[in-house]
Amino acid sequence: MDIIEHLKRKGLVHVARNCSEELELLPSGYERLDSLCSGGLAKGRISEIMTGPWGASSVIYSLLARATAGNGAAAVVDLGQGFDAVSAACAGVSLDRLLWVTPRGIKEAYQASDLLLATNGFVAMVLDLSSREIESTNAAWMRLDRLARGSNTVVLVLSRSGLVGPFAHVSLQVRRCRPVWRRAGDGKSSNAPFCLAGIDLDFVLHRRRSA
Amino acid sequence: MPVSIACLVIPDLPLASVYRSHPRLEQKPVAVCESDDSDAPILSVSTQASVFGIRRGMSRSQAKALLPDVLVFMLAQQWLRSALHALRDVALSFSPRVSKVDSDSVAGLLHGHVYLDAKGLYGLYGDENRLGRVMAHSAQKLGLDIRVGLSDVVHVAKLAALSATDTAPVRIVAKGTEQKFLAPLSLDILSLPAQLRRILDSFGINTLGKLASLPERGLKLRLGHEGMMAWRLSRGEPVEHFVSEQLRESFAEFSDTAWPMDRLEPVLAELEQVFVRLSHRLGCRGFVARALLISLDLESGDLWEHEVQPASPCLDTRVWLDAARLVLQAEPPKSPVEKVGARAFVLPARPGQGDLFRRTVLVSSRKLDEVLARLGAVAVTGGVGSPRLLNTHRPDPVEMAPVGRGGADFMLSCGDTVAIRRFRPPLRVEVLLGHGRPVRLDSPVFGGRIVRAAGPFSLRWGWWEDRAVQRDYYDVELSSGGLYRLFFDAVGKRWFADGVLG
Repeated sequence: MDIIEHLKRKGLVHVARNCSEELELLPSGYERLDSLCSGGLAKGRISEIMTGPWGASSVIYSLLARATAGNGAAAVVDLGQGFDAVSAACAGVSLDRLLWVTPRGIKEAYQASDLLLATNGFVAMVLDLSSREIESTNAAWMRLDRLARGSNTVVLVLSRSGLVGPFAHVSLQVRRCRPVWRRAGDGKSSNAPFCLAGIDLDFVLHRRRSA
Repeated sequence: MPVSIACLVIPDLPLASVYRSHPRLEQKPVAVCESDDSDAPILSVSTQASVFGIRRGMSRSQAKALLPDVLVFMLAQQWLRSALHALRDVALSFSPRVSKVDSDSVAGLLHGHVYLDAKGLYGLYGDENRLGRVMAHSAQKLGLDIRVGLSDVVHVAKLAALSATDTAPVRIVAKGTEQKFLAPLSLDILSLPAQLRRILDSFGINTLGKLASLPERGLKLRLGHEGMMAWRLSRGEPVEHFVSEQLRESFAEFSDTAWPMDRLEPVLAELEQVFVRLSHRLGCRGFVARALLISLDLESGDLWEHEVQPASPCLDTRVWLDAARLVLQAEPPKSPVEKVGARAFVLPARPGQGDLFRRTVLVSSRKLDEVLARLGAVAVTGGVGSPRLLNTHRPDPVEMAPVGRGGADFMLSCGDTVAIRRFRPPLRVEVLLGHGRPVRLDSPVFGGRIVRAAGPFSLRWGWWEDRAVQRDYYDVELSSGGLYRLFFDAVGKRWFADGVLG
């Protein structure tokens, strides 16, 4: 049985799943997103967020904060080199348990994700491809999906428009990005300048697969 | 009581050095010549070539006449040195007390040998026979076919190794049986001076046993000091002592190409062979490479050298090859390549347990190092690590630290920080002002009417340096719904988008 478990972990053996089997979830920290995903993002599966023109970086930082809490490690494969460590640290990410990789191109981004997933040592891995429009390649996603299934890692892919296609366990789109403006100081003075106090993201569910 | 000295011998050093550099030739007829001249004598012949009558001492032309397909290599000193260093690595992987590695000629055939102190190894390996077999096996991994001799007397251990065979590569001479072992051996094995050998031949002395049976007094009178030395050697008396030497480590491997190569792939293929040999040597000694100096001898006579550093010290030749490929693509050699070499700068391999980060990541340290090194090959320069915050007000105060050493060593004040994804470098944009405030944003990527803007938030930094930063930041909301952070660079009088908020 140990051998079968080992092979299953490596993704070499697949066992038919019971439809009622529940996947382990990692809450993202975003209530609206978690409610759409039945409580969080699934471990061992690829989840996708289509950001459109909005950033959705607060989702990444929130997820990474959850992943790095309690001795977990997380990784970010950052194609656009847009990861902001200050925002991440303020969101609660333990930067010393974060691996930040900035690949040279899209092919290298897939390779890096492949290597990281093969270690099966990260609680979450974010593949941020939202910096530009990218053509989808099924072969790469099929491979990453297989590796993800053999691991216990939450794989979150950020893209402008859908990239992962049928290989995504859950596919969400940022529908709206509502800024929260408030006046500086105590917020009561009508002459005080405005400042951006926060951003409220709203998601819509595109696709969700059963377990 | 187990014997205390082991001697590792490469019986045919020229041929072994060729086979080590060209492992695919092991089943081919091969001869090794002293030089490139057609009349240069052959120093060494493979079994496959000797079947066709090719012998040591023949010229290259004679060998070619007997077998046109015979592969004749010129003896390369670099190959010999690499093979001897590899032999020393094998010895050092067993014992810290190892003699200087040396080469010597017996009956015209060059061999390499090294002694090591075998005391204390039997607890790990059992008996002498098992220890010898493990040593031979370990050398095989490094591409060396060696013989092992074990004895309490230094020169007897060497003679035992030289008298071992392909089928029985380990020869043990127990204490007190040295003379019995030496007696049937031919005098050829001692490499005696030619004059002494002629005299002994005239006496009818052709084995060590016969030499040992000669009376000491008469021998001393007739043959002098050299004769006495040979006599003592033949009796198995200790003549030389084991001396352990600490030498400067050198991990370098080379490969000679058959013809000048002007394409990247064949150069990489040669380099891969070099890396594999180097990796085996480092692995055998428990080292990893923190950097590699790749050197290419060019047809023009120039030397192309470049140091490559994997993201993490490792032994993975694929990682080294990826790094070498990148360097060669970025700075291709100016003329065809004739020789390929690599020197490793080493660190002791990390033991299994790691720090907190490594324990968190459920892979071994070595595995993680390999993954990090391979990530280094696919990432931009310095693009693998953990982010470390700098205690400064300069824009984007982040640097890439080694994995597990990120974070901040100061108290970070966050306030109402809104998450941002940065544009690196900042994106040049056009901003239209109305009453001194931004009202419209245009760029090749995004743009529109600005419906609300917060700011300016001024940043003045580095005014004490030449590269002063004077920026006025705005958080803006576009009519399309996009949220961006802009800044006006007061030094360059231009607008930039710093990132997208969200």
